[in-house]
Amino acid sequence: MMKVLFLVHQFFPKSYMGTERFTLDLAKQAQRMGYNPRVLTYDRSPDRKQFEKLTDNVLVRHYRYAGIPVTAVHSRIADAIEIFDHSVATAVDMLKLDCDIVHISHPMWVASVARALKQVRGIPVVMTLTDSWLLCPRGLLDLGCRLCNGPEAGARCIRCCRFSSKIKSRYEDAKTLFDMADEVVVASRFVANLFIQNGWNRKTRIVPHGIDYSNVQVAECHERSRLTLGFIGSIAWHKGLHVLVKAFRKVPDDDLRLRIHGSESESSDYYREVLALARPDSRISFLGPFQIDRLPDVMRDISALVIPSTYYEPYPLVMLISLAYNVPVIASNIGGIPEVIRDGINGLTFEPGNVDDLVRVIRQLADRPQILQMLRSNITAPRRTEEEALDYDNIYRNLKPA
Amino acid sequence: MSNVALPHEPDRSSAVSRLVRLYESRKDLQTKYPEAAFGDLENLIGWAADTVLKSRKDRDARTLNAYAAWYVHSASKQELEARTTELESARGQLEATHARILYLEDLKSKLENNLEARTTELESARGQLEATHARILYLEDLKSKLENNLEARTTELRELADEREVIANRLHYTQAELDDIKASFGFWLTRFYGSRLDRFLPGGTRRGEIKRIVANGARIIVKDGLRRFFSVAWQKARIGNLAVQREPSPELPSGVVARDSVRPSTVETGPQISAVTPKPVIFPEPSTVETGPQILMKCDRPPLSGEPSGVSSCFVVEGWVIAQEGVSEVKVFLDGKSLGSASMGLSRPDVARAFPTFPNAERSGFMKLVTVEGGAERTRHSLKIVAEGQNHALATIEGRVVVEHSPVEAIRTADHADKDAQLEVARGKPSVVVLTENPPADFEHTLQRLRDQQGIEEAEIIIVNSGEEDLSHLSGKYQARILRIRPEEFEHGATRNFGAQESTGDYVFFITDDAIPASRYLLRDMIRCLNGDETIAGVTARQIPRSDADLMACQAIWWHYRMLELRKDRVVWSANLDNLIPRLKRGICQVDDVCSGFRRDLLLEHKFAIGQRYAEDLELGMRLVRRNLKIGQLFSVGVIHSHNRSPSYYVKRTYVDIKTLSRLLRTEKEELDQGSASSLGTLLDAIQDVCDRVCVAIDHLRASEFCGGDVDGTFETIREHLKDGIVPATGLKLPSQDLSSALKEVFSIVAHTPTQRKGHNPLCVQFQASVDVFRSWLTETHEGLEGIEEPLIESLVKLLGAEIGRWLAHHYLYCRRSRRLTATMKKLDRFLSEDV
Repeated sequence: MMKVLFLVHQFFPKSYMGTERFTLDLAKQAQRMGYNPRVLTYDRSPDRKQFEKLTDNVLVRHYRYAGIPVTAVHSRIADAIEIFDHSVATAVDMLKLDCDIVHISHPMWVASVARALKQVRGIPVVMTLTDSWLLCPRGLLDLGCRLCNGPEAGARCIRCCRFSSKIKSRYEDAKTLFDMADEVVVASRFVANLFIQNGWNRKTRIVPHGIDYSNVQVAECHERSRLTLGFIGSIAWHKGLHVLVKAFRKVPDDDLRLRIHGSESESSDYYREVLALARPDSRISFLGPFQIDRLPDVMRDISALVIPSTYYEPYPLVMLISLAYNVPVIASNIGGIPEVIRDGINGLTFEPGNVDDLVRVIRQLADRPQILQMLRSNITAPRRTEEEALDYDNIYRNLKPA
Repeated sequence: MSNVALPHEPDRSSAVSRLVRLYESRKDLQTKYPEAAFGDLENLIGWAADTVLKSRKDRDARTLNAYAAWYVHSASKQELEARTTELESARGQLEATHARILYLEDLKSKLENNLEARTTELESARGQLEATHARILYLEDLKSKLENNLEARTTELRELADEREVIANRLHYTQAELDDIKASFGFWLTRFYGSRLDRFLPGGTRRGEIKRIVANGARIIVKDGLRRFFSVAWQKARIGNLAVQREPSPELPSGVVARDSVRPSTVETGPQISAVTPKPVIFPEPSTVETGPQILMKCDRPPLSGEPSGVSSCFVVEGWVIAQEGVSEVKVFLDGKSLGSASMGLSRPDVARAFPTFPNAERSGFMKLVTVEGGAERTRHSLKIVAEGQNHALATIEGRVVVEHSPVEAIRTADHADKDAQLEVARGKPSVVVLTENPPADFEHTLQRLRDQQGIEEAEIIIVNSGEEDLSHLSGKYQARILRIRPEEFEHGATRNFGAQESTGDYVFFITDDAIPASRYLLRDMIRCLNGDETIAGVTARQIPRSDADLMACQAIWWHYRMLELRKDRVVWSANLDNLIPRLKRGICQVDDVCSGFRRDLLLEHKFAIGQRYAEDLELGMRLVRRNLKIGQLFSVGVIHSHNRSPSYYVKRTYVDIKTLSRLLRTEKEELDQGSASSLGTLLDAIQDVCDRVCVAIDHLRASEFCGGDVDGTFETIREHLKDGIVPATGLKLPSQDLSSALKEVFSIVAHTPTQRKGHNPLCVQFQASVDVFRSWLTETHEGLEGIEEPLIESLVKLLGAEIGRWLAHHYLYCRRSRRLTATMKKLDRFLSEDV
């Protein structure tokens, strides 16, 4: 059976964002379907006691997570901006990676491993673009956190974001990686178009993400006396929590609550700002991050999930999770979100960053909570990990027939 | 030139058919070359060539001699091809090695260059650091100077503020006096017009126009003062027109649109904008009020003037908009349809420099990302941008764009409409029959996925409900027909036949209520398979383990497809099915009712057998193949389906499976080989012995922490414990209470008291073979045991349960065939056959 090497910029247990969850779920399902998966990841701040020296510049650690073997590397001279890191590339042979397919879940830090395996051993490469990092290291936000539409081959990065001229060579390397992959996969049409719009024309496959339903417990829906809005995600500017808090405070309804589940260092300026913004309002609670096994409890407590992102949200997993739990989503009308959330059908949308528009939506729900029931009845269960894995199974088999 | 006579091509079909006939008549060849049953004849021809060349003595050598030349030639050709492939592979490896050397050399030189560059950068950075240090010293000095300056300015500012307050008081009184003067002057002016001013006016001036001039005159006096009024009036009187002209507009950049404050009826906007109600203006006739330009707007991208510009299917509308009183919203319309508001407030220092007097110029940028759904390669669209000021003034820019759609291929089951796939609708109406008794929690997932199938004609969904629960609420939601039958009426074959008779489609599909289609194109691909050849009667799709499937469930599915040699989509048939070995028979006839489909007419002709408690699908498949029909087996599409069963379920399920397959596939030989224990008591003692050994092995594994997580060490430990030798009896204290209870029930039915077995136990060898299969799966999919130690123990116990079921079934079949079935054996059979 085929061995698949997943390459991802960060991984469990240290990091647990959407891309890591996608990688883990896919690897586990591939394993169930008879594949032999392994994850190669990067550790930005390694605990020296756990790592061993591989070369002068590269440290390595082997461990298992949820039954998946993981190899974590760290380079002393790696650069987060660069696409290909030579120090890790030189260590590929010493890592003794045995695989039939390389699957890049996120190219940051680890793209050079894929290039080395492709060039030297001719191993096919599948690349899933879960965000816009390949185009822009700042996630298509300029220095003022305004939306940008693309790097213009690096010229715009120099002009607007004050990058050095090195950014142009990064752009060329990114394009090289994009062209080198045997299959480029994206989760949403929006992401596909984002790359095409920047002149990166090639056939991309759209494989929407799936959800692992093994822990999903859809609660019986009882009409609650109080409307509880939920936020789940990183507390960072581009996730737009400030928009939600501002809007929520403008709706002075005692039957409303806002529960914020998110992780961010308490020393972060943004976190402090949002906290200060929310503090006078006793209806808002900051509940911090939670373990995945608590997800059913968290979702049971939420009437509707809000995704107030202010950047090009590619295809948020939290949106799919919410729908899997039959909880309607109120989301910014941006990025890949409108491909799933149809305003007034299975959720409500508002203009990104527009506090008044979000106020309108919240007020609408507060005045007529029966809307939620209507939205819930229209929710179609989002795709499962098994469905997503079958798509990838066909891709792998096409590249490496049995 | 060669003078060797080459075999003629017409020989091929005769030679192959003779070889295939021989293959179908010889079980040793079927066992040795199972792939030949699915069309891969390479090894079989090699065998034939060896045989005719006398390198292998065989009873059928003479039969093959007639086509000896062809076999030898084909085998040589195959060998030559194999050698060529090997040579090419070696060449490829050599080239790869060469490429690797080049790559490493290149890498080395890049690293050297990198090192050099870094050294230069370091030196440069050091220089910059020194310069920065000097600059810091300078800035610190500057800072102290500025601080001193700031203090002086603060004092000055405070004094100015006091002075400003005094002036403001004076201004207030002056303003009041001025208002009085203006009021009296306005009265005087009206009278003046009535009596004297007619001589200043051009001929034909109407009364209403005079009023307008009066109003404008009053406005100028109020706004700009008397001096300005007289100046304007004098100029206009000199040129014979007293109407006050617009104030001059600032020079606008090309492409800029300026709009005045106007009534809605005069504005060309989309339907959303026309509903805007203007604020009341100060003067009674707003249409006559002349004001300066309210909104300036420009669209930078895409250019909307001139020829339509080409854009990709996802493009940005970008520009800037300014107004004295602020801009409230910018909306974008594509083909007259609103796409919503654009993001505003983006920084535009260039606009601020050009229009310094506009308060919002600094942050006047706007942007909207527009996505156009796919269609033809190039589509033309109208694009309109409408800006609305805080005072409800409007400005509009319109133009055309040409959208160039790029090649984006939506893969199967993508959430988005795959237009190409939709266009290729598979011919024939499908009817899907879902049998259910107690629908599982995610039953609606099954129905949702069936409802959302793409690339087919409208599907008919029929739910045959044999349970107590009322499912009528699903009827409207999924356009499904609900057929109710009483629970006691359910029968695997008859109920399916009933569903097929009730259906109206060209094809009938069966799917179990706990199977979820894993692809939006499941039915389309199955129909395409059936459409590919009229002799394909049925088609089946693979099962994919659920995400909560345990190790045993995953391994069972993996082993099932490996045993059937199903790795890709295929169409199978056999002209001589009954001569094939059981495994190949099953591989060829397997139609899996978890997800299967048939031509309706053929299904109604052949029907599922009634009274078949298990494997009704395999039974039908065998009858179809015997009638020279074919079966499609798809591996690229499938359904999500697996079960986490208890060990005791595996005992019973395997027992029933073996019995059923024995009848269908005629596996007498295996039964005779494996069921020849002298008595049931002896068999139970042997089972007890295996259980004891497994218990001790598990204890040992736990004590050694699974040999430190080593897979090989763990399985060697199990092997050691299954070898001959006395093992202490554990009294059926298996790690699974469920299996222990089931076995105790078996012992109780048989009324057998276990005795410790001595000597060789053949069941240990058979169980070891099962463990070896499990091990090969585990080592192929897991590189270690960390995190799956206890699931591994659970799987071993389930594996043991399955083996116990197999042994008991073989013994039952052996007794039945040798007419030695006792009342106890029949009682045991009833216990093992229930609740499966």
